[in-house]
Amino acid sequence: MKKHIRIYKQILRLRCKPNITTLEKEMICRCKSIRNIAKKIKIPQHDLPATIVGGIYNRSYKIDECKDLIEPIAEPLKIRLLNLGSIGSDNGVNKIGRCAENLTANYLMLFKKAKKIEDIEFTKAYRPRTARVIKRCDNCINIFGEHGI
Amino acid sequence: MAYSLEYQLNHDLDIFLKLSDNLIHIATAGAKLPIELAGLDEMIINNKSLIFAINNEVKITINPYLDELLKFKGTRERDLYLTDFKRISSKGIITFDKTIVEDNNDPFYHVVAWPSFGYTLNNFKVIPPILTPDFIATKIEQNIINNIADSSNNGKMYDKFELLKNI
Repeated sequence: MKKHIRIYKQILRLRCKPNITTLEKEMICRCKSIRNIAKKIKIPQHDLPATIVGGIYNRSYKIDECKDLIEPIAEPLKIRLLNLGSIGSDNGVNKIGRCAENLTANYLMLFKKAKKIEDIEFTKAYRPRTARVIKRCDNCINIFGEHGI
Repeated sequence: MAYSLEYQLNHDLDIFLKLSDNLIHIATAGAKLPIELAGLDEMIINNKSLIFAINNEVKITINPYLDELLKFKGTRERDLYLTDFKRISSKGIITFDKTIVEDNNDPFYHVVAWPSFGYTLNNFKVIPPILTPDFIATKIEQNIINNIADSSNNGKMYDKFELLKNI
Protein backbone atom coordinates (compact mmCIF):
# COMPACT_ATOMS: atom_id res chain seq x y z
CA MET A 1 0.00 0.00 0.00
CA LYS A 2 2.82 2.37 0.98
CA LYS A 3 4.48 1.65 -2.34
CA HIS A 4 1.31 2.53 -4.22
CA ILE A 5 0.94 5.79 -2.32
CA ARG A 6 4.54 6.67 -3.14
CA ILE A 7 4.03 5.97 -6.85
CA TYR A 8 0.76 7.92 -6.83
CA LYS A 9 2.53 10.88 -5.20
CA GLN A 10 5.25 10.72 -7.83
CA ILE A 11 2.70 10.83 -10.62
CA LEU A 12 0.80 13.69 -8.99
CA ARG A 13 3.98 15.67 -8.41
CA LEU A 14 4.61 15.94 -12.15
CA ARG A 15 0.95 16.17 -13.20
CA CYS A 16 0.11 18.99 -10.77
CA LYS A 17 3.34 20.91 -11.02
CA PRO A 18 4.97 20.22 -14.36
CA ASN A 19 8.29 22.02 -14.19
CA ILE A 20 11.92 21.16 -14.75
CA THR A 21 12.52 20.21 -11.10
CA THR A 22 9.64 17.74 -10.90
CA LEU A 23 10.56 16.35 -14.31
CA GLU A 24 14.14 15.85 -13.15
CA LYS A 25 12.86 13.84 -10.16
CA GLU A 26 10.56 11.87 -12.43
CA MET A 27 13.55 10.97 -14.62
CA ILE A 28 15.32 9.14 -11.79
CA CYS A 29 12.08 7.28 -10.96
CA ARG A 30 11.70 6.46 -14.64
CA CYS A 31 15.21 4.99 -14.71
CA LYS A 32 14.26 2.72 -11.82
CA SER A 33 10.98 1.65 -13.40
CA ILE A 34 12.54 0.97 -16.81
CA ARG A 35 15.08 -1.24 -15.08
CA ASN A 36 12.46 -3.01 -12.95
CA ILE A 37 10.25 -3.69 -15.95
CA ALA A 38 13.24 -5.14 -17.78
CA LYS A 39 13.89 -7.34 -14.76
CA LYS A 40 10.31 -8.53 -14.39
CA ILE A 41 9.15 -9.17 -17.94
CA LYS A 42 12.06 -11.53 -18.65
CA ILE A 43 11.92 -11.08 -22.39
CA PRO A 44 15.51 -11.58 -23.51
CA GLN A 45 14.99 -9.54 -26.69
CA HIS A 46 14.21 -6.47 -24.59
CA ASP A 47 17.28 -4.28 -24.15
CA LEU A 48 17.49 -1.16 -22.03
CA PRO A 49 17.81 2.16 -23.86
CA ALA A 50 21.26 3.73 -23.59
CA THR A 51 19.99 7.23 -22.72
CA ILE A 52 16.76 8.98 -21.74
CA VAL A 53 16.08 12.72 -21.62
CA GLY A 54 13.08 14.78 -20.58
CA GLY A 55 11.99 18.06 -22.12
CA ILE A 56 9.33 20.51 -20.93
CA TYR A 57 7.51 23.32 -22.69
CA ASN A 58 4.82 25.24 -20.77
CA ARG A 59 2.94 22.42 -19.06
CA SER A 60 3.70 19.78 -21.68
CA TYR A 61 6.53 17.38 -21.14
CA LYS A 62 8.04 14.45 -22.98
CA ILE A 63 10.55 11.81 -21.96
CA ASP A 64 12.23 10.05 -24.84
CA GLU A 65 15.13 7.71 -25.48
CA CYS A 66 17.93 7.90 -28.03
CA LYS A 67 17.04 6.53 -31.43
CA ASP A 68 17.18 7.66 -35.03
CA LEU A 69 15.19 10.77 -35.83
CA ILE A 70 12.66 10.19 -38.58
CA GLU A 71 10.38 12.47 -40.58
CA PRO A 72 8.41 14.63 -39.89
CA ILE A 73 11.03 16.89 -38.30
CA ALA A 74 10.16 20.38 -37.01
CA GLU A 75 11.66 23.08 -39.25
CA PRO A 76 13.78 24.98 -36.65
CA LEU A 77 15.33 21.72 -35.47
CA LYS A 78 15.91 20.53 -39.03
CA ILE A 79 17.78 23.75 -39.90
CA ARG A 80 20.10 23.40 -36.90
CA LEU A 81 20.71 19.73 -37.59
CA LEU A 82 21.52 20.39 -41.24
CA ASN A 83 24.08 23.01 -40.16
CA LEU A 84 26.02 20.15 -38.59
CA GLY A 85 25.68 17.82 -41.59
CA SER A 86 23.11 15.51 -43.17
CA ILE A 87 20.75 13.91 -40.68
CA GLY A 88 21.75 10.34 -39.82
CA SER A 89 25.39 10.79 -40.84
CA ASP A 90 28.33 10.68 -38.44
CA ASN A 91 30.19 13.99 -38.15
CA GLY A 92 32.97 12.59 -36.00
CA VAL A 93 31.30 13.61 -32.74
CA ASN A 94 28.14 11.55 -32.88
CA LYS A 95 25.47 10.48 -35.34
CA ILE A 96 23.50 13.61 -36.22
CA GLY A 97 19.93 13.49 -34.88
CA ARG A 98 20.43 10.33 -32.84
CA CYS A 99 20.42 11.88 -29.38
CA ALA A 100 17.32 11.76 -27.20
CA GLU A 101 17.24 15.59 -26.98
CA ASN A 102 16.38 15.76 -30.69
CA LEU A 103 13.44 13.39 -30.35
CA THR A 104 12.11 15.18 -27.30
CA ALA A 105 12.43 18.61 -28.92
CA ASN A 106 10.89 17.34 -32.16
CA TYR A 107 7.82 15.98 -30.32
CA LEU A 108 7.30 19.18 -28.33
CA MET A 109 7.65 21.33 -31.44
CA LEU A 110 5.43 19.22 -33.66
CA PHE A 111 2.66 18.32 -31.24
CA LYS A 112 2.85 20.79 -28.32
CA LYS A 113 3.29 24.02 -30.26
CA ALA A 114 6.77 24.93 -29.05
CA LYS A 115 8.01 27.40 -31.65
CA LYS A 116 11.62 27.91 -30.66
CA ILE A 117 14.20 25.44 -29.41
CA GLU A 118 15.20 27.95 -26.71
CA ASP A 119 11.68 27.69 -25.21
CA ILE A 120 12.19 24.03 -24.33
CA GLU A 121 13.88 23.17 -21.05
CA PHE A 122 15.72 19.87 -20.85
CA THR A 123 16.60 17.64 -17.94
CA LYS A 124 19.98 16.02 -17.73
CA ALA A 125 20.44 12.87 -19.81
CA TYR A 126 20.33 9.67 -17.78
CA ARG A 127 21.43 6.10 -18.36
CA PRO A 128 18.45 3.98 -17.20
CA ARG A 129 20.57 1.06 -15.99
CA THR A 130 22.51 3.15 -13.49
CA ALA A 131 20.54 6.44 -13.26
CA ARG A 132 23.86 8.25 -13.80
CA VAL A 133 24.01 11.52 -15.67
CA ILE A 134 25.43 11.42 -19.19
CA LYS A 135 27.21 14.55 -20.39
CA ARG A 136 25.70 16.38 -23.35
CA CYS A 137 27.54 15.65 -26.62
CA ASP A 138 29.10 18.44 -28.71
CA ASN A 139 26.39 18.15 -31.38
CA CYS A 140 23.68 18.73 -28.76
CA ILE A 141 25.65 21.63 -27.24
CA ASN A 142 25.66 23.20 -30.72
CA ILE A 143 21.91 22.76 -31.15
CA PHE A 144 20.52 23.18 -27.64
CA GLY A 145 23.36 24.97 -25.84
CA GLU A 146 25.11 24.00 -22.64
CA HIS A 147 22.95 22.35 -20.03
CA GLY A 148 21.40 24.97 -17.76
CA ILE A 149 20.95 23.01 -14.53
CA MET B 1 20.73 -11.03 -38.37
CA ALA B 2 23.50 -9.08 -36.69
CA TYR B 3 22.91 -6.12 -34.40
CA SER B 4 22.87 -3.01 -36.58
CA LEU B 5 25.13 -0.12 -35.66
CA GLU B 6 22.05 1.97 -34.75
CA TYR B 7 20.82 -0.72 -32.39
CA GLN B 8 24.23 -1.00 -30.72
CA LEU B 9 24.48 2.75 -30.20
CA ASN B 10 20.92 3.16 -28.93
CA HIS B 11 20.80 0.26 -26.48
CA ASP B 12 22.54 -0.78 -23.31
CA LEU B 13 23.02 -4.44 -24.20
CA ASP B 14 23.58 -7.26 -21.73
CA ILE B 15 26.15 -9.68 -23.09
CA PHE B 16 26.70 -12.91 -21.18
CA LEU B 17 29.68 -15.06 -22.11
CA LYS B 18 31.30 -18.19 -20.77
CA LEU B 19 35.05 -18.22 -20.23
CA SER B 20 36.97 -21.31 -19.17
CA ASP B 21 36.27 -20.85 -15.44
CA ASN B 22 33.69 -18.10 -15.11
CA LEU B 23 30.62 -16.51 -16.55
CA ILE B 24 30.95 -12.83 -17.40
CA HIS B 25 28.45 -10.07 -18.08
CA ILE B 26 29.25 -6.99 -20.16
CA ALA B 27 27.00 -3.90 -20.09
CA THR B 28 27.71 -2.07 -23.34
CA ALA B 29 26.09 1.33 -22.60
CA GLY B 30 25.64 2.09 -26.30
CA ALA B 31 29.18 1.13 -27.29
CA LYS B 32 30.19 0.03 -30.76
CA LEU B 33 30.80 -3.72 -30.61
CA PRO B 34 33.45 -5.66 -32.53
CA ILE B 35 31.91 -6.99 -35.77
CA GLU B 36 32.32 -10.64 -34.75
CA LEU B 37 30.46 -10.04 -31.48
CA ALA B 38 27.73 -7.91 -33.08
CA GLY B 39 27.05 -10.76 -35.50
CA LEU B 40 26.18 -13.12 -32.66
CA ASP B 41 22.86 -11.49 -31.73
CA GLU B 42 20.92 -14.76 -31.55
CA MET B 43 23.52 -16.24 -29.23
CA ILE B 44 23.47 -13.11 -27.03
CA ILE B 45 19.65 -13.22 -26.73
CA ASN B 46 19.71 -16.94 -26.02
CA ASN B 47 22.43 -16.55 -23.37
CA LYS B 48 20.42 -13.81 -21.71
CA SER B 49 17.34 -16.02 -21.44
CA LEU B 50 19.45 -18.77 -19.85
CA ILE B 51 20.75 -16.33 -17.23
CA PHE B 52 17.16 -15.38 -16.27
CA ALA B 53 16.70 -18.98 -15.15
CA ILE B 54 19.61 -18.95 -12.66
CA ASN B 55 18.46 -18.55 -9.08
CA ASN B 56 21.82 -18.45 -7.29
CA GLU B 57 22.40 -16.15 -4.34
CA VAL B 58 26.13 -15.67 -3.98
CA LYS B 59 28.08 -13.18 -1.87
CA ILE B 60 29.77 -10.62 -4.05
CA THR B 61 32.71 -8.25 -3.88
CA ILE B 62 32.50 -4.75 -5.32
CA ASN B 63 35.49 -3.30 -7.15
CA PRO B 64 37.29 -1.26 -4.43
CA TYR B 65 38.67 1.10 -7.10
CA LEU B 66 35.16 1.97 -8.35
CA ASP B 67 34.80 5.26 -6.46
CA GLU B 68 38.05 6.57 -7.83
CA LEU B 69 37.18 5.39 -11.33
CA LEU B 70 33.65 6.80 -11.58
CA LYS B 71 33.81 9.63 -9.03
CA PHE B 72 30.37 9.22 -7.45
CA LYS B 73 28.87 12.32 -5.89
CA GLY B 74 27.28 10.45 -3.00
CA THR B 75 26.23 7.09 -1.64
CA ARG B 76 22.80 7.36 -3.30
CA GLU B 77 24.36 7.69 -6.74
CA ARG B 78 26.67 4.78 -5.95
CA ASP B 79 23.79 2.59 -4.77
CA LEU B 80 21.72 3.40 -7.83
CA TYR B 81 24.68 2.57 -10.04
CA LEU B 82 25.30 -0.77 -8.37
CA THR B 83 21.70 -2.06 -8.16
CA ASP B 84 21.62 -3.82 -11.51
CA PHE B 85 25.20 -5.09 -11.35
CA LYS B 86 24.67 -6.51 -7.86
CA ARG B 87 21.61 -8.41 -9.06
CA ILE B 88 23.50 -9.95 -11.95
CA SER B 89 26.70 -10.59 -10.02
CA SER B 90 24.89 -12.37 -7.20
CA LYS B 91 23.99 -15.11 -9.67
CA GLY B 92 27.71 -15.99 -9.74
CA ILE B 93 28.72 -13.80 -12.67
CA ILE B 94 31.60 -11.33 -13.03
CA THR B 95 30.18 -8.02 -14.29
CA PHE B 96 31.92 -5.46 -16.49
CA ASP B 97 30.68 -2.02 -17.45
CA LYS B 98 31.76 0.59 -19.98
CA THR B 99 33.79 3.25 -18.18
CA ILE B 100 33.15 6.33 -20.35
CA VAL B 101 29.52 6.17 -21.38
CA GLU B 102 29.55 9.36 -23.48
CA ASP B 103 31.99 8.10 -26.12
CA ASN B 104 30.74 5.21 -28.26
CA ASN B 105 34.22 4.50 -29.59
CA ASP B 106 35.96 4.42 -26.23
CA PRO B 107 37.25 0.85 -25.77
CA PHE B 108 37.65 0.85 -21.99
CA TYR B 109 35.65 -1.32 -19.58
CA HIS B 110 36.05 -1.90 -15.88
CA VAL B 111 35.06 -4.72 -13.57
CA VAL B 112 32.15 -3.77 -11.29
CA ALA B 113 31.53 -6.79 -9.10
CA TRP B 114 32.44 -10.44 -8.87
CA PRO B 115 31.34 -13.44 -6.78
CA SER B 116 33.41 -13.78 -3.60
CA PHE B 117 35.39 -16.81 -2.41
CA GLY B 118 36.66 -17.87 -5.84
CA TYR B 119 33.21 -18.85 -7.06
CA THR B 120 33.70 -20.51 -10.46
CA LEU B 121 31.65 -22.53 -12.92
CA ASN B 122 32.28 -25.67 -10.86
CA ASN B 123 30.27 -24.18 -8.00
CA PHE B 124 27.08 -23.94 -10.09
CA LYS B 125 24.58 -26.70 -9.33
CA VAL B 126 23.80 -26.87 -13.03
CA ILE B 127 26.22 -25.16 -15.38
CA PRO B 128 24.08 -23.00 -17.70
CA PRO B 129 24.59 -24.09 -21.32
CA ILE B 130 25.80 -20.67 -22.42
CA LEU B 131 27.50 -20.61 -25.78
CA THR B 132 30.59 -18.54 -26.54
CA PRO B 133 32.83 -18.96 -29.58
CA ASP B 134 36.30 -20.08 -28.51
CA PHE B 135 38.15 -17.24 -30.24
CA ILE B 136 36.11 -14.63 -28.36
CA ALA B 137 36.47 -16.37 -24.98
CA THR B 138 40.24 -16.77 -25.48
CA LYS B 139 40.75 -13.13 -26.47
CA ILE B 140 38.70 -11.80 -23.54
CA GLU B 141 40.52 -14.06 -21.11
CA GLN B 142 43.84 -12.89 -22.52
CA ASN B 143 42.78 -9.25 -22.12
CA ILE B 144 41.75 -9.86 -18.50
CA ILE B 145 45.04 -11.62 -17.72
CA ASN B 146 47.01 -8.79 -19.37
CA ASN B 147 45.08 -6.26 -17.28
CA ILE B 148 45.85 -8.11 -14.05
CA ALA B 149 49.54 -8.23 -15.02
CA ASP B 150 49.57 -4.52 -15.93
CA SER B 151 47.70 -3.45 -12.83
CA SER B 152 50.10 -5.30 -10.56
CA ASN B 153 52.95 -3.41 -12.27
CA ASN B 154 51.47 0.08 -12.10
CA GLY B 155 49.76 -0.43 -8.73
CA LYS B 156 46.30 0.47 -10.04
CA MET B 157 44.30 -2.63 -9.27
CA TYR B 158 41.00 -3.13 -11.08
CA ASP B 159 41.56 -0.12 -13.33
CA LYS B 160 39.76 0.27 -16.68
CA PHE B 161 41.12 -1.75 -19.60
CA GLU B 162 40.34 -2.79 -23.17
CA LEU B 163 38.12 -5.81 -22.56
CA LEU B 164 37.17 -6.43 -26.19
CA LYS B 165 40.58 -5.72 -27.71
CA ASN B 166 41.64 -7.67 -30.84
CA ILE B 167 38.31 -9.46 -31.28
